[in-house]
Amino acid sequence: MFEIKFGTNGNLSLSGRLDASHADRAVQTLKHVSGVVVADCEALDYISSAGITVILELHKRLHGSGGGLRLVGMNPKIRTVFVYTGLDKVLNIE
Amino acid sequence: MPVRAWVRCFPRDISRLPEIFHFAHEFAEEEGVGAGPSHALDLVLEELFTNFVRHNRDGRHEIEVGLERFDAAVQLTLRDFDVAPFDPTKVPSPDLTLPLEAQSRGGRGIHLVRKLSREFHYGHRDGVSAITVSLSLSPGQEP
Repeated sequence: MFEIKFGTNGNLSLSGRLDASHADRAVQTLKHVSGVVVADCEALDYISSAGITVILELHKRLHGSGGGLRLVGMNPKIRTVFVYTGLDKVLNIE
Repeated sequence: MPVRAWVRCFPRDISRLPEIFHFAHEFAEEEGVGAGPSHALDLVLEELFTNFVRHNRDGRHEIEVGLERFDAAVQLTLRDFDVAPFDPTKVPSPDLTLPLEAQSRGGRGIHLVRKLSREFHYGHRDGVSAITVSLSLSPGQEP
């Protein structure tokens, strides 16, 4: 189960497991997100390389159009996946 | 020696990943595998299963997943039947020192497997591709 909730300020909340079986749906859901976005990852339990790619593509698109993506509230397990793939140095993770 | 080998076959369809996770969680609970190694097991299983599905698109058989608990490690084996060889251990890791735009899109999943595993082997014989990965159960060595 993976879910994306949109706040009234345009920010996001990610919850559940972002794996390869949910990646395509996540891309579709995030297609219209724009501007400077904060994604709350506190309820995110799992992310694989497929999920990382979803986040990375969102980051590139927002960054390329003058916006940005900030990832907040990651638990240590999720953060480790970003560290192991070297993306903790590239993405804005708090 | 493992007490019991857990073996199950899954249709070669990425939408079936939740069933694989369920199997792995059942194994982890029954065999007393902690939360850290269990998380690593999920990651490695997903990366290798999706790798088999994507690189052997003509494959017709289900993919076999085997799990064994040893004293200090979990060993997982994935077997894909009647397929051409494709060795994921030879997939280069992305160059993480390059700017993001210059990094290759592929290879992150296998890079993750390398980071998480103690041993990572591939073999192909009589049309069967087999990947064996060993994950440490020692404290501090899991994600």
